[in-house]
Amino acid sequence: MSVETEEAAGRAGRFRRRLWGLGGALLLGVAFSLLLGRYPAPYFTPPGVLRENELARTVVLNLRLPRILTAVLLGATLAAAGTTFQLIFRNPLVDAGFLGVSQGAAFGASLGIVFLGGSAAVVQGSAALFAFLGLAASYLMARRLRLGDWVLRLVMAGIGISAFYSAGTGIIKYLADPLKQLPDITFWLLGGLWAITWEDVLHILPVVIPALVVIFLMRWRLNLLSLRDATAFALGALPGRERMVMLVAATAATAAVVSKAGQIGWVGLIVPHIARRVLGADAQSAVPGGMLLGGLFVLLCDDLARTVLTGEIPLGILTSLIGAVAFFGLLLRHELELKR
Amino acid sequence: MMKSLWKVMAVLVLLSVLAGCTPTPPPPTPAAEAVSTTDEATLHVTGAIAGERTFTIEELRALGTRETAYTNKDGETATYTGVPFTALLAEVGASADATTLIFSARDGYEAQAPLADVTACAECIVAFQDQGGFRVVLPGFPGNIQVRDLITLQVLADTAAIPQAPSTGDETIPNDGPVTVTDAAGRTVSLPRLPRRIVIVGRGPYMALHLLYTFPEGRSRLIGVESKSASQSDFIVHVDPDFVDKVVGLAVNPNPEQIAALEPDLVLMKSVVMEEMGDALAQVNIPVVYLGLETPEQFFQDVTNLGLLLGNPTRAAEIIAFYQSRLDRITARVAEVPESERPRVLLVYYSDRGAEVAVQVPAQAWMQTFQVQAAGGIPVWLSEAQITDGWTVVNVEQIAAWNPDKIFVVMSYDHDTQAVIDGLKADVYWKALTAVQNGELYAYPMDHFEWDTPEPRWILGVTWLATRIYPDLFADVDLQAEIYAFFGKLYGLDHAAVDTAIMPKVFLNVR
Repeated sequence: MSVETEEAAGRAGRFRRRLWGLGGALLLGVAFSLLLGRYPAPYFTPPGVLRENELARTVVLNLRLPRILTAVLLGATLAAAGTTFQLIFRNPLVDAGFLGVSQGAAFGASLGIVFLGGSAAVVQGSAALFAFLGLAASYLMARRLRLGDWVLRLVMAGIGISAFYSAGTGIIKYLADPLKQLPDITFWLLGGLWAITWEDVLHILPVVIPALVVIFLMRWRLNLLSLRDATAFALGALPGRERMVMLVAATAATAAVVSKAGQIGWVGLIVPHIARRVLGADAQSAVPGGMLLGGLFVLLCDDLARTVLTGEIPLGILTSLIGAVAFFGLLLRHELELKR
Repeated sequence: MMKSLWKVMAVLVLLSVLAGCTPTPPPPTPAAEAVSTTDEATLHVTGAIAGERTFTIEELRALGTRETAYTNKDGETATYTGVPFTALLAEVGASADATTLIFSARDGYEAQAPLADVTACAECIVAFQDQGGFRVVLPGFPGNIQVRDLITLQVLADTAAIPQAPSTGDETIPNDGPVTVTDAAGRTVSLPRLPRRIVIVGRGPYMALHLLYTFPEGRSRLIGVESKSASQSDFIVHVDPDFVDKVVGLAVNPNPEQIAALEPDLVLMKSVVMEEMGDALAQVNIPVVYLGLETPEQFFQDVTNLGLLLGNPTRAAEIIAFYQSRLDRITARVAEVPESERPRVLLVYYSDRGAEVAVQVPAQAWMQTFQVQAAGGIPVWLSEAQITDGWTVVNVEQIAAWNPDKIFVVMSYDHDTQAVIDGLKADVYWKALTAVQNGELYAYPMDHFEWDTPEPRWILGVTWLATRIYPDLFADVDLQAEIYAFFGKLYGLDHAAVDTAIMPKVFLNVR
């Protein structure tokens, strides 16, 4: 065995151990989060209380557990989608917000709040609908554009559609009642999981799980799809079709979670980078690593969002803030290592 | 001087003895029942007295009469014959903790006077009118409480003096449920017993808070409210000085678990946009009742629901009767104005966030639109407005096209009202509008809170609007008296309390 392959095998083993470690950390995180909350006393709920206090049991089973599962799914989905988008578009600066998906969801939700009566089902349905319309519009526009290769065209079309949706959201915010509707739009745009019930979990599971499974099973193709079309084709991939399957899976999962949770910024952008720093650029380990890391990251942010104050802190603020700090921390540490 | 003091003492002693004889004074009767429409001249006396009584002219005369000379505001003096209040109150056995007299006229008009002032005045009488019926003659008192066509005299005990123990959840309540209400979202909510621990959350929590506080039980059973900001308690501390200590302030947007931490047995919220909250709270078996507040129908439904939930439907009926009497007075007079003679009215919300001035018109289904219509104005903006919810931005060109006869400007409390109005009058476009040139540009009034919002103050808004749209038709409406009556009736604030807590904040005539 040559030194290189031995090294590669050692690295793969190290990454695998890190993956198991991340998985264990996520399970521990879930168990720990179940005991964090505001009822009956702030912060920590001793397990003994659950035996005696029925309301505490109901709070844990009916409020905390679905919320925790959704936080994990949300993080895993955004990170997986982000990894997928970044590899397919060969661009480290994109995430699900990119093909008009997030912007479409935001526009749909604002539309639902201001013009369609603002009931929960309407807001979520409208958000999911416009997220998909965003993807479809980006795709159709890209086919009509006449410049560059397919990736560049999709990027251009996505930017255009996103701008279009942003303007639409802006108009709706301008028309919204500043006292009654604008706070609702703002709160939705900042995102949060406070309203999640088991019913919501059941709504998103049938979309999110198959989509994540598709991304997970096709993860090794991402390495090929991130190559130029001609190269990928020469290596035996059907780049056009496979790319489409991955994009639809990523968008569907994102639209499903975003329609329940609102806009959660930066998870899809930052977590894949952190995952690659920790687990290497190979999609084989970066995709599952990203999912686990994303789940853990959003879970911890949501714990803070629901526990620290007597009112909810918008989750999107925490993910952006903590994500940015973690990202810088990682970058700076790496730089120091290089200097050594 | 000494002599009259002795008289007062004697009356008070008599009253307290009489009150002591009665084990349980009956609860105040709803004014709705009291506003009788029969034509026989009788006087109904109700409230904190030994027992409700209805007097005919003969029965009153039998109590002993005297003559009182009264000079009205035009300087005309007339002599009236009638029964002294002291004699009447002694006869009915007014309760010792009674503080206020409320006079209701046949047309629904209501006025009130401090009981002690009236009993201290030997010349104060319930007089017999030449045309039949009764009237109040109170020499030395303001003109607006000299109520003619008096049909009901209500003796009110001090509502603020009702003991308010902090809610422990163990309070014993007579007729303690179960109770079922249909709320503003159309949901049927059933509670096994009446709620003891009420929490208010959602957008504009002060609206629900101000409504809940019109019930004495609401004050003692409220345990938490969302975002108890400084401005939110500005008003309510005058009604309940313990508010800040007693009621837990939740931060903005509490989640279901954070609400559950207060262990409420009822959550009240206004905004239906937040309906997910109701679903989430249902997971931990905490019932939610939505309040509508946006139209008088919704408002009356909310009041009725609170009456049921707080176990005090009598108070609910009393509140509704108060609103109805004022609405009826306005509707009756406005109904005589033919459609073609009604002024065309524009009501706008003014904002200058980010140095950019925007004016917006309210939705068709909103309280502001109702107020203008109820006060007999023709709202010019309906074609541009949202149907159910939201403000719509309009530009000056559109306003010029409408060319309204009168313009009313709503703004939030943090504006310098006069400066805004002056700014609009100086604006090159606005000063060209006919309404502005005719001096028909008004700032909508407020005290601590705006009078156009869907909270209890809306009735003050309608009344004020009527006096501005039809100054001649409503010349007799004394807005100061309306303010005293409103805060007295709904929040138990007496004349002096309104003078110190409310009046300094009120402006009625910024134009």
